[in-house]
Amino acid sequence: MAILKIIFLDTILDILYFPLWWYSRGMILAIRWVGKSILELENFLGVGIWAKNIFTPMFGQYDLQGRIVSFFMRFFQIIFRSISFLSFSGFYLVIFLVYLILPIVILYFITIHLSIL
Amino acid sequence: MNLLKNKQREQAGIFTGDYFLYWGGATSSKDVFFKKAKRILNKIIDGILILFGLFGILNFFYQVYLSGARNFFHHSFWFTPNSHLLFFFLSLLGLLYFASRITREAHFFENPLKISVEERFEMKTALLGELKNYKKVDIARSFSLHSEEALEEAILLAKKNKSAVSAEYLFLTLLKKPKMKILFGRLGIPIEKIKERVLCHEPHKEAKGGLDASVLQILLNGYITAALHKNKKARSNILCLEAVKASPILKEILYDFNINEEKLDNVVKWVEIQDKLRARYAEFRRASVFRPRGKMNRAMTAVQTPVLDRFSEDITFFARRGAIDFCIGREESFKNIFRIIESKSRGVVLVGERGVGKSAIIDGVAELMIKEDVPKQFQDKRLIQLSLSEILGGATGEEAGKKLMAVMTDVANSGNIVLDIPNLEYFLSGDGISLAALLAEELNKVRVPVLASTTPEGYKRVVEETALSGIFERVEVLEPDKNLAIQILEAESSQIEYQTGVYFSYDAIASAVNLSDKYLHDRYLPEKAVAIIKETALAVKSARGTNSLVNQEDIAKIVSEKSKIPVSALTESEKEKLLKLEEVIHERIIGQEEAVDAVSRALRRARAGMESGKRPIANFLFLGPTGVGKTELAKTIAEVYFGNENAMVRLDMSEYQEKQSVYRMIGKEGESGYLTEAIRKSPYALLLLDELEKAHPDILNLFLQVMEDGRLTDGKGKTLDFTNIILVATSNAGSSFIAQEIKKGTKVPQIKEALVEEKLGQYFRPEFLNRFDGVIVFRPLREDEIIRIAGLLIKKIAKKIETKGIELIIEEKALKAVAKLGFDPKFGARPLRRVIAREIEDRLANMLLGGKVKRRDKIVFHSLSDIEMISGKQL
Repeated sequence: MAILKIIFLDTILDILYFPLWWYSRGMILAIRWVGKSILELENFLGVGIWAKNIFTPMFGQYDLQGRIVSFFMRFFQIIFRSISFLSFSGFYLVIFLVYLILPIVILYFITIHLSIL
Repeated sequence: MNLLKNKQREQAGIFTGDYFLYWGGATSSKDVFFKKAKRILNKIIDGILILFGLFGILNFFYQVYLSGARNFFHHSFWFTPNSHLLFFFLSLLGLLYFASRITREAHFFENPLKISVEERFEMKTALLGELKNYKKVDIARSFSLHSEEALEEAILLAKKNKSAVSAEYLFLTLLKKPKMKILFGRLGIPIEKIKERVLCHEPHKEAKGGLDASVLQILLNGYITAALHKNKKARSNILCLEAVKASPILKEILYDFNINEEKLDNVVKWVEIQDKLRARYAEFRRASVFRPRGKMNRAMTAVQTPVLDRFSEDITFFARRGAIDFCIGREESFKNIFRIIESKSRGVVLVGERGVGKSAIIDGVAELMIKEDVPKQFQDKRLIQLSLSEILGGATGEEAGKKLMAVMTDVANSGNIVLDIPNLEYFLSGDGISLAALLAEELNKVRVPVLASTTPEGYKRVVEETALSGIFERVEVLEPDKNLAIQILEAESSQIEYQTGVYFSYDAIASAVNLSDKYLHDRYLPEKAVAIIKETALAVKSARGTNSLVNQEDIAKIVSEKSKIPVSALTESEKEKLLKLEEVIHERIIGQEEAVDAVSRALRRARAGMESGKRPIANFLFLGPTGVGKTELAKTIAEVYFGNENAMVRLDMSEYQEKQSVYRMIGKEGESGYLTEAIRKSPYALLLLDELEKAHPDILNLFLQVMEDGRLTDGKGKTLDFTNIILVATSNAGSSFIAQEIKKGTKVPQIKEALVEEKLGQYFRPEFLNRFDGVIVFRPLREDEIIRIAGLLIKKIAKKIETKGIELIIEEKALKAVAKLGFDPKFGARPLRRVIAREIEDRLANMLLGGKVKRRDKIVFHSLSDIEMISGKQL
């Protein structure tokens, strides 16, 4: 019986620990996830590489025309890629914000609807 | 002893660096009960949370449906107190709790710490106060669920038997886990059989329960081994290995099944390698998403390379699709390559024999490039393998030079290439050397990293002696040792298994390495062993169908076919043959009992595996007059031992009387000699040295080394292996002495002693004579023996003529006459063959050609002058 008591207590403690975990360790995990996702996004879109090479001609076309065409090509690529980068990053940040406020919103609604009892 | 009993005050574990490792999992049946109950409860809670959540959400949508979509956006819908909405938000909260639970559980497990190989560990019991300055690591958090469950089951099993938990109990419960089925399946042993044996020995140790110190040690060792192997978790297979290592009883039981620690260790590694291959493959596919798919680099600065594409293959392209071999145990080579390239050297040349894994290393580099786990010079580049055979093949020197220059122009322009030039030794043919100089010039112009590879000979002649030496730094690729070769084969085997549908036992893999190492000398590990298992898998598939297990005998059969050597394990019939060796030999050899006995005994010793492995199988010196059966015995040995009387390298030493003849034997500098070439081609043969006493003393010194070390170096500097030969030297030295003493009636052992101590001294030095395993004296033949030999030879003729349907009968009188004519005191039985040819074969030939005899006729030799022909029945 003693064991069952311990298990019961354990379960209660676990439930109480849940909100604490959500805003401490859980939050750290969420931040890490957002950070990793944004890094992968940058790795995929390669905005940095394009920006770094903005004056390097594409396809080894080192003549003047090649340089000019390349510059504009890269310029538009950078703009296009930056837009997608920013919008996807924004999406991740929104998800993170939802993580932060969701429990509070839920609790708020629960208190409102509790009055029915 | 229960180390964990005083849990409050002290704790058993291991100190390593700043860490203290301890077992925080179950130790008693109470713990097990607690853990089990908690697992069940957790499942129930999770189930309730999911159901509650689903039901809340569905109910919510139903309410929305009932109240109409317009109401959904109305303020009052959300803020008027309502039991359905309360239920909905509570279920959402429940789902969040559920999410937090599974996330916490997923993060409960920790990867083992990084531990270096040199560290030594000792279990200590530490007071809690002592541990203040250490980070405590609960190793239970790095154990897989299966291994943790096995321990818990062991605790319960031990409790049922009122004993302490010992290694044997842990082993028994581990056997139930799925990984063990794979492990013992590879070893070809049914788990039930092992279980039965262990149950017989189940140890009963009085204790109140709890973990035995040895089990605690097993758990800690398991953790450390997993950490050393860089595994993510301590799995049941590692725990099994540690349990066996800790228990002498288990070791003995497994030894009865022919499993030793090394074998178990390699199979555990095999299971791990396959897990890792799977994990690596997944990781690899993920990483390759970000690599550009085409020929362009990510910065889009590269240039198209049409000419280069025509003469090359893009290895990174294949690597991205997983179409290259995974590379095992080559970390050292990678380190060397990257170090050289980072130190601003132009290129690396991998130097190693064919098949030792040079291209595997290149594939490994490609794999690292895909993962971008490479120095700056390799990042965001393509690894392009140049095909020298396509550039050099079918072209004049001038054409090939043009092609080479065009290709190098492309390389220079592209800007995203790491060049791989395999097989530099192809430059050795035709105008190659001048082209190598051209390549050196071109490589000096283009500033790209180059990885080349070649054989040692190719390196010497193409790189060292040309301008290429200024470009490349040498990285040696050695033949892997047998253990590494086994692990490489373990990794290779999964692909072969997948393609053919048959499975390899561990013994099959190990014997493929061992047998090919021993008997296939013209190729190198691991390639030759891989070729063997590939061929065997196909053979087994066509013989026994898919899903069959390839075993040791299947491998031996293929190796035997390739090397023409009977290598099938000591089967019952062969053992009998060895035991009855004297009888087998006497089917061909008449008389000479002492000689046959001595040789048989020496051969049995060798075949039973008692040879040292560093000398030839046996060295014999046969002494005696001509024509008494010395060569015949050597031929018989070749047939019995090597399966074929032609498995013999025969040297007439009277042709090597001068000092210079040493070169004919081992070759001048840069050449291979007659003896060395013969042994290279058939390293598993009988080496017969006729008339040894006539050879020049320098040549005798050569054989002194062969007999002592089992090897010889030829003019090319290649060392040849003589450990699989039987060396037989024959000599007539002292034969007149033998004849005299036999006449006097002296016993053979005394004659031998006298010969070795006195008579042979003028021909051979004592240390030379000492190298022989047996100095065997052949005595002159007696008349009755000559008659039996004549009978034997005539039997052969009778057999031949029988195929024409004619029966040949030689009566006693004729036989004696032949024996008398054929015997010569000086030449022994040597003239016998000639006499038989003249007296019997010639006459038979005349009869056959003259059409005097037909099928079913009988020819009877009453004497040499009285020959009768009996006509057979007419059909």
